Amino acid sequence: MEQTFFSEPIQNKGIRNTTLVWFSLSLVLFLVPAAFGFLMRSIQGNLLQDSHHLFYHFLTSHGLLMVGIWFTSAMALLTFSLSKYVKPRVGMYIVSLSLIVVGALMSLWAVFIGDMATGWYFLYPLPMRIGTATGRIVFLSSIGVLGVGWLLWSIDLLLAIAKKYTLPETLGWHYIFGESGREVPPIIMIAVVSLIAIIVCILIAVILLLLYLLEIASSVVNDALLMKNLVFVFGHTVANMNLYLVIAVFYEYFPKFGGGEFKNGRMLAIVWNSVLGIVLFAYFHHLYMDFIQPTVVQYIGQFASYGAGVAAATFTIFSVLAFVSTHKMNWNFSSLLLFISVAMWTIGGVAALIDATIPVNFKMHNTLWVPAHFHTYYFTGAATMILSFMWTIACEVSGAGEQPWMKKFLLPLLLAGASGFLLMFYFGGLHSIPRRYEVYPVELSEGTAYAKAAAYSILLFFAGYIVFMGMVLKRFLRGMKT
Amino acid sequence: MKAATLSAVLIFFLAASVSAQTDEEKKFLYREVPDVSIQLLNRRASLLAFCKEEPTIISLAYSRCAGICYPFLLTLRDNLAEAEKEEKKFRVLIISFDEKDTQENMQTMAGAIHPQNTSRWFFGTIERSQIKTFTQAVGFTFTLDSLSGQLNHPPIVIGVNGDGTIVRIVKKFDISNNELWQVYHEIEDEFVPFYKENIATSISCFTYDSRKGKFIVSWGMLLLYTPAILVAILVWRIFSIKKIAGVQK
Repeated sequence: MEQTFFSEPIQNKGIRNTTLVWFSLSLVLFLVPAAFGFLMRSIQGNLLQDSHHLFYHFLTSHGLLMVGIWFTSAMALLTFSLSKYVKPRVGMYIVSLSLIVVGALMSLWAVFIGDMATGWYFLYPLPMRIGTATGRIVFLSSIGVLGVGWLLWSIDLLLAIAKKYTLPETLGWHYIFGESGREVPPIIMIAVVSLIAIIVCILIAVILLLLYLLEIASSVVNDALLMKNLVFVFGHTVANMNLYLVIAVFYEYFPKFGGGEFKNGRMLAIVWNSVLGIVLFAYFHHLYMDFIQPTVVQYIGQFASYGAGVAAATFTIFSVLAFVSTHKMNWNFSSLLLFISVAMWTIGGVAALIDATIPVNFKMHNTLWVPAHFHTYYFTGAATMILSFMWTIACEVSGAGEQPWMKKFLLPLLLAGASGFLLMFYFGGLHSIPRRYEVYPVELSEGTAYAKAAAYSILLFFAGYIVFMGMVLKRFLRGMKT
Repeated sequence: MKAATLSAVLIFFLAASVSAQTDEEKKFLYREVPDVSIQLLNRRASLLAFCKEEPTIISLAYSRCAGICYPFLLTLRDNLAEAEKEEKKFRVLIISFDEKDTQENMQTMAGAIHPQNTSRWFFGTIERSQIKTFTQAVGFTFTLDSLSGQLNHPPIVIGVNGDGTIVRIVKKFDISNNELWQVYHEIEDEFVPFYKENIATSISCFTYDSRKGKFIVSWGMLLLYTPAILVAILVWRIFSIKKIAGVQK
């Protein structure tokens, strides 16, 4: 390897090996929800006849595991990268990861044995109406265990940062107010903003779970609107923060492919402070169709959705474009994948803003447009960035380089598979094909055709992914032995 | 400090859980009132046709009731008087579900209730063979107490709009003015944008003042944004612990 980006984190054996173990596990675990996704599209495409009864189980577990795996991987990547500047505790890192693995296994049990096919956001009152009594408790407990794991981890990272920086420094207030102060890398600032929002979300999830438990344990009936608000302020924001955790690492390492760096400054500090201020209000766009939500809240949701997305995304996208056009980039497999993932984040983000626009939302929100946009920015955006960093780390810990065919053949293969399955969602959305349908009636036969094409595209992606996974795992194993 | 916090949380949830009950209202809504035959003072009529003349509030009672019928109807009378002052256009129909009741009994009952606007209040009986049809259609159940001969039953208010469609059913004694205003709006086909489907819900983000048509922020909103305040305090504490923040400055 001619460049070493992660040389300092790699020196920290405990953090390095824990990260590599989780990354290895996540690469393999990812195949489980990915397979569920493939099975769902196969059922919708009439390629599978005998598994219809499991469609909503797949839907629930697919969402929960995907968010769980990639959120945890983003936290692991951030922990690994932050160890260049601060010292997270390895013990807490391992405890958190263990809790998350236990939570993930519990959720699998609850969905498939406990019959809790509620959808990943377990919208009230579904968890009270379906599944077994034990399944209900295990399902809610699994969310609790995952939450505790993420909460401990987030607090530990904040404590590690607090040992070196003050709060105003980490939030870049000295940049905003034009005061002198020490230089704070963007990764620190974006990490603090994201971790604060994550802790808020987890506390909200605690309230949500308490309300569920209260209803299970007594005759109290919860307010459906409150429960929906709680679940989306938690779910939407956590999924959003997943992306920002990776963006923090992106700011640190992407410019290194061009021999430069992204410096912190006034504009960047204003953007990320504003994200902290408005990100908790953006989820309201999930409730546009809840007519009992007061109109003023819907307007807040409209502006917050635009504000949260536009501030961070636009600034990052223009920074990236300006950077690559003024620097001589080393376009290898990693940097290309990172650049593509920013493009996909942009495409998915624009599609999300379209959906977050009230008049459009009324027509599009219950169609395949929604899975189209979130798969674009979440999977081909955030998750792909993580995969790209995994590859860079794998090469650096093992000392093994990159084969030229990866850029020429593997990357196009992965892209073709991913784009194919995404395009089918978009086409479905454009033709008003509803989402969450197990099978499409004759009137919506287009949806069946799109689902079938998507299933084949997923197979194409799998072919590339298996090769990629094998190469990364081999390098991780070599890295752990050294 | 911890004990105080825990107690506050406990009290909050206990307070929120008071008066839990199940509500099956929605099972009976948006259907026409049954086309049963009713006997009023001067005329026999079809209930459906009667309701189609004007929006109607129906309540079920029986004249020899020694329980809730009279106090409930008296309370209802006083509450409705307020809406009647504001010229809300609806009629009130009190019908008996007791096979033993006659039109004469019901007129005696009318005299005891003595509503202000007598021209808009009607007291009558249902054709005996059709009592079950009607009570089943609105989810009203009653049982005979063999010892006292009394009929055990819940209080009920049924809102029917000018199309003869049931739009609200409220089964409770302490029906609030806010709930009654929702019924007035609903029977006049005015859009009620918010009401708790089940009044026993623990806590909600908003409540709705039906009379003024305004939203009122409720405890649930506090639940949504308290975590943000708590985290702000937590983060400030994390960064202000001197032995942490000062170490590497």
